[in-house]
Amino acid sequence: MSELQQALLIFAIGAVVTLATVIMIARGHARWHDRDPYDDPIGTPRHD
Amino acid sequence: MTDAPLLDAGLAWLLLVAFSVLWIALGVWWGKRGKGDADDYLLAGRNIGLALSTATLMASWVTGNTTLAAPEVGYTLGLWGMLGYALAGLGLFLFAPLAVRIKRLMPTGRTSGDFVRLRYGRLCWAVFLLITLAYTLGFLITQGMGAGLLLQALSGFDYRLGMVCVIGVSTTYTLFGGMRGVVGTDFIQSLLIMALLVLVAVLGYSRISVEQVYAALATENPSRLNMLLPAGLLFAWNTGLFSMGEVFHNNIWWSRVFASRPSVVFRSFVLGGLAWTTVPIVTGAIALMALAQNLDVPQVNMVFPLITAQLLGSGGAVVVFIIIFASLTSTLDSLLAASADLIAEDVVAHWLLSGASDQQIRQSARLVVVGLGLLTMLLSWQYVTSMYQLLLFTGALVASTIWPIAMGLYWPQANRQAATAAMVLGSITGLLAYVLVAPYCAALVSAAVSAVVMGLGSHWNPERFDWRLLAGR
Repeated sequence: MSELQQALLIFAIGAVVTLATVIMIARGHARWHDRDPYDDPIGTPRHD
Repeated sequence: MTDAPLLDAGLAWLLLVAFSVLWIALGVWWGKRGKGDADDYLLAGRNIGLALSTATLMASWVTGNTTLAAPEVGYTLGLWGMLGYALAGLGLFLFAPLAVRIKRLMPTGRTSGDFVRLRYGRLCWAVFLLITLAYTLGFLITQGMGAGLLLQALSGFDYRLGMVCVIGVSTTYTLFGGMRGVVGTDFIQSLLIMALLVLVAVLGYSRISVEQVYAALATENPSRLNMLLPAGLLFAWNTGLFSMGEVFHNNIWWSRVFASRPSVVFRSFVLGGLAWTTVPIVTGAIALMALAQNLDVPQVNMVFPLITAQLLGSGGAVVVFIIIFASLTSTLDSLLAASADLIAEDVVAHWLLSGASDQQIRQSARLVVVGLGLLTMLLSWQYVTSMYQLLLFTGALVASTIWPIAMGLYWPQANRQAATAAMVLGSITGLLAYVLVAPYCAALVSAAVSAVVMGLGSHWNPERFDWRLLAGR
């Protein structure tokens, strides 16, 4: 693998990780937007 | 070019004394306002408005590295260096939605450590504290060393004298002013930095046009315009992920969330990010100007001061002195205040002295400010490595916290064992990448491994966290 190919591979991995992080945050933000911060729609919470 | 200092020693002393007295006087004056309890000292009464909040975010994120390393990578990597460094603004932009959630979930919270302890338990909290303290020390040392090197290059001061002066000034006004003093001085410092940078860029580009810079680069240094430059490709996303790791985990940014009014947190992080992003672009553009004009740059990490002084004469050296002195002090004060907050709240109040009173927490924070200031001087006494290399090393650690923090704020399934494993494995693999592949890959590898561990661990063994546990400290 040439130096450029290695750099492009790492660039692509970086883009994927960044995009995944952005999507996770955007989904989380949308999920809690205009909702009570403690009102969890997923099941009964665990106390421990 | 000779190695002679850019500023006359007398003028340099005058600037140093004038700005030191100004910061200390303003910090102490602002610190006297307010009620004087621990919330007031640590979080400025939790009532900061949009202008002050935006300014303190921008000033804290404009570090000595931004003003020295951003032009350095612009000079060595060209467009990718300039744009890649600007991607560090992603940390502030993406923290904006997280800040809204933090403010609503933890109305009485004080530190990022509070969140990790309550959300993931004490084991994960201990790992988190190790990471954040290692990062904080690394960051403080780079600022201390930057101060010494800068004053030496600009004014001919002894390295240690400059370093001790800058750290001493920041420590003094943080000690007496607390967060209120830090935020107030940050406001003035951010205005100075922005106004003077714009002045340098406008004056610089009035002497040589963008077209001339482009033509000269295309002829003499075409690699600086190459968007497929391997080193540039390696650098780009690493900077963005590193910045996310820095901002998401560090108490500098969490304390700003707790200190600001709920209505301003989202906008202040977005505006602060936008304001900050202009700094590496402007300083990087000035470095490209140096390449285009074939200016002699014997020390690449000093490219910004050297070029500004060459372009604008002794007035340029004065401008650079003010910009970098403001950058260094605004970052050092934020680091000292936020780290004192974290140590007083997490280590003293929740560990060493369980049930500490408000007065004891405030007193502990003051002692930590002084202790950290002295420790930074001690650790910066010898200039041992490149500032930016040291900072990239800490990137391997902090990038491992991105997914545990963000997932833990939004998703009840985020699992405490997975969070601990993500931080440990992300840090280890990031450090291995730093040594075995390239320093520029450390944060990227750490974030990638941490994301996979966090995602899979929480998917296989989901937790059902009760968000109400975060309501109290």
